[in-house]
Formats: sequence, C-alpha cells, structure tokens
Amino acid sequence: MGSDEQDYSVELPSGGDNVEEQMIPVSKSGDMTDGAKKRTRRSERKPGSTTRRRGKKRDDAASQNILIKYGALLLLVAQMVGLVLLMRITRTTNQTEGAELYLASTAVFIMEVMKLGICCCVITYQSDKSLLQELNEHVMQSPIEMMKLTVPSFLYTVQNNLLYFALTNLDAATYQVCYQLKILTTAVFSMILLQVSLFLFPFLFFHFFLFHSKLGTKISEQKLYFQYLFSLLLTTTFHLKYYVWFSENFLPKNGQL
Amino acid sequence: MVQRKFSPKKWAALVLLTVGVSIVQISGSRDSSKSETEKHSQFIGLIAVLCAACTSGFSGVYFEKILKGATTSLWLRNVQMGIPSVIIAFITIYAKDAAAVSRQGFLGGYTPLVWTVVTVQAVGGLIVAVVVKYADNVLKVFATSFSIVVSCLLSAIFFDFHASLAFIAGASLVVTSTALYAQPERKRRRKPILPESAPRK
Repeated sequence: MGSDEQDYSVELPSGGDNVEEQMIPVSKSGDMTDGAKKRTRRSERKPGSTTRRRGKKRDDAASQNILIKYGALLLLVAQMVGLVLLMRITRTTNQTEGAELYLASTAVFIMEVMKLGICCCVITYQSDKSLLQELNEHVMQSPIEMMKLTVPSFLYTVQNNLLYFALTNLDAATYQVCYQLKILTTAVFSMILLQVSLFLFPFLFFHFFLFHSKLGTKISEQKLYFQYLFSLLLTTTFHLKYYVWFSENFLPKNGQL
Repeated sequence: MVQRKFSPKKWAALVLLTVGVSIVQISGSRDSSKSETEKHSQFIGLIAVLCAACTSGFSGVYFEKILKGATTSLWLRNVQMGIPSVIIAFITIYAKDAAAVSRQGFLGGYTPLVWTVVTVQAVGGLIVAVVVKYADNVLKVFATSFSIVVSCLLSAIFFDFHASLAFIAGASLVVTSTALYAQPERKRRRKPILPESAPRK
C-alpha cells in the first residue's frame, strides 16, 4: 500500500497533520457515504487540480480501502480465534498426558519480553534518532508519563494471566462470548471514572498488595489465585465508590490531574 | 468513544448483552452431562473472565482519560508500557509461581505449541494494534462477531464442545447487542473537519 498511499496524499491540501487526517476518513469511514462526502468536499477546497485525475485517484483509493478492510478483518479474526483456540489446546492437552503444565506467569513474561524486543527493533529501523536517544527521551526523561502508564501495564499483565487462567477452566467458545462483557464494564467505568481524579490509584495498589501478602502461602495455589482475583474486584469496587465521593466533595468539576 | 450519557439504544444493547452472557453462563452450569469438578472449574473460569473484562474496561477508560491528545508513536508507547510490564510480569512469577518454577524450571512444560501461543500473542497483539488504527467500529464488530462464530464452530469440530440451544440463543444475543452498541451516534463526531459538518443531525 506504500506508494499508492503517498501518491494519494500528495493531492490533499497541505497541512500539518496531512496524512493523519487523510487516514481517518479513508479507512475509518464505516458508512461509505460519509467518507465520500468528506473527500469530495476536501478536494473542492483544493484549487487547481484536474477532475479526471481526482476521479481516478478516488477509484484507486476505494479499491485499496476495500483491500485494507478485508485484510484487517481477516487479521483481527485470525488473531482472536487463533490465540484463544491454541491457548485452550495447550492448557488442556498436557494435563491429560500427566505431564507438567507450563506456567502461565512465565509465558506472560516471555511474551512481554518478546513484544519489547520487537518494538525496539521497529523503533531502531524507523526512527532517525538512535534507539538509546529515543529511550532516553521518552522513558528516562518522562517519569510522570511512565508512572501513569504503570497502571495499564499492571492491568494488562493481570489480564494476560487471567486469560490463561480462564482458558484452563473454560472452553474457547464460552470464553469468547463471555469476554464480550468488557463492553459493559467499559461503559460502566466510563460513567464512573470520567470526571474523577486519578491520583488515588496508588492506594489501589497498596491495598492490593496488602491483601495479597496477608494471604500467605498456606492455602492451595488455586485458592490463592481465587482470593487474588476477589481482592482485586473488591478493592476496585470499593475505591471507585471512594473516588466518586471524593470527587463530588473535593474536586472541581472536570478537574484534570 | 468515552461518554457519560448513553442513548436508550446503548442502554438496550447493554441490557441485551448482560442477558445474553447470563444465558450462556446458566446454560453451561445447568448442563447435566458435566461432573461436579467440571462445573466447579467452569465457575472459576467465569469469574476469571469477569475479572478480565473488568481490567480490560478499566484500562480502556483510563487510557482514554490519560492519553487524550498524546502524540507518542505506537511503538514507543508499547516500549513505554512494556518496560513496567516486564518488571510486573517478573514479580508475578515470583509472587504466584515461585515454588513451581523451582520445581519444574522456568521453561518446564514448554512445547513448540506453547511457543507458538506466546509468539502469536506477542506478534499478533502488535499487528492488531496497528490494524485497529485503520479499522472502524463496524469492522471491529464484524471481527468480534465472526470470531465468536468461528470459535464456536472450531470448538465443535475439534473439541468436545456441544452447543446447546440456550448457548446459541445467548451467543446470538451477545452478537446482536455488540452490533447495536457499536452503531454510530449521529451527534458525536470524532473530529469536525469543516465548520458546517459539526452540528449536523
């Protein structure tokens, strides 16, 4: 898609976020009519380009658009289905043979290391600056951003562990259906959290680790993990209530941290 | 995408979704062909999914709140998130599986298929992150619906999975509600490009 795309964006009125803006309507237009309208309107703004050329380009873009769409669809489905099914196989076949099952936590760790490696490679390849410069600028020099990002990193790690755990116990189809509950949880959290300050998050972690360390190692592994999940759920709910109360009483509306 | 007020349509979709998932869960636990231990493990699995959905929802909203208008590239963002993730994943190993690691070794039980899973999760996750940038809502819904259906079919073929009538009903409800939820709202546009396009109804 490389050269075609560049060709196309040359025709646009020049602006700072030229490519960015173009990419959104072309590929993001769910309803084709909207995308088409926008494109026409924009090309009307552009003086001095011939109509014939524009029409040809639009056809190119449309077919390219469809290609990208089907490709993306295929990739998304393959990833979602393939990962879940393969994981289910690896979590169940070994058990019947009596061999030792691999550890979910080490698998998550290896996956994260792999991801980090790939990203570093891509940055080295793409960026004008060296990898060390980029890392210095975006990791060492921006501790606040890194601290903020620790929260989702933590949650994603927990989530990946949960994925293995869920597929050990649940068949792939049920998992896929039930995981759609994330739409509900996203909706709920967006209602609760949107206007709430974020600086109480450290408390959540504190409680979480407190809960965890209190449990000790006497209980069986499965039970421990169960408690672990429960404490996460409990602390999250508890603190959400606390956030709402706090924000209503102490924080200005739309208060940003 | 994040919004405080939901239209009636979205509320209906959320209710449908909840009902659908409940039906699937109940159909699983009512299945008389399953043994007690199977039912128990299914229950635990459902709680795990519930928690995963919670963390997913939370981090999604958190991301939107915190990273509004940020311009860091996808790859750098992944590195920024990857560094704490690696550390946390390492801590998790020792918090959760220290004894097991010393018993069976760090890579105990790793078959080629397990390596495939790990690679698919890492590489696939990044590819999906790139693709999603170019995907609209409709496409995502299609992908989700397809993957539910394909998972059910493949489970039925390769695994010992029998879809009961209740399961099918619940799954179709979930797919329907996903589609309903993702239908674009006319009022809120992501980025009004021209002044006259903004207040269109």
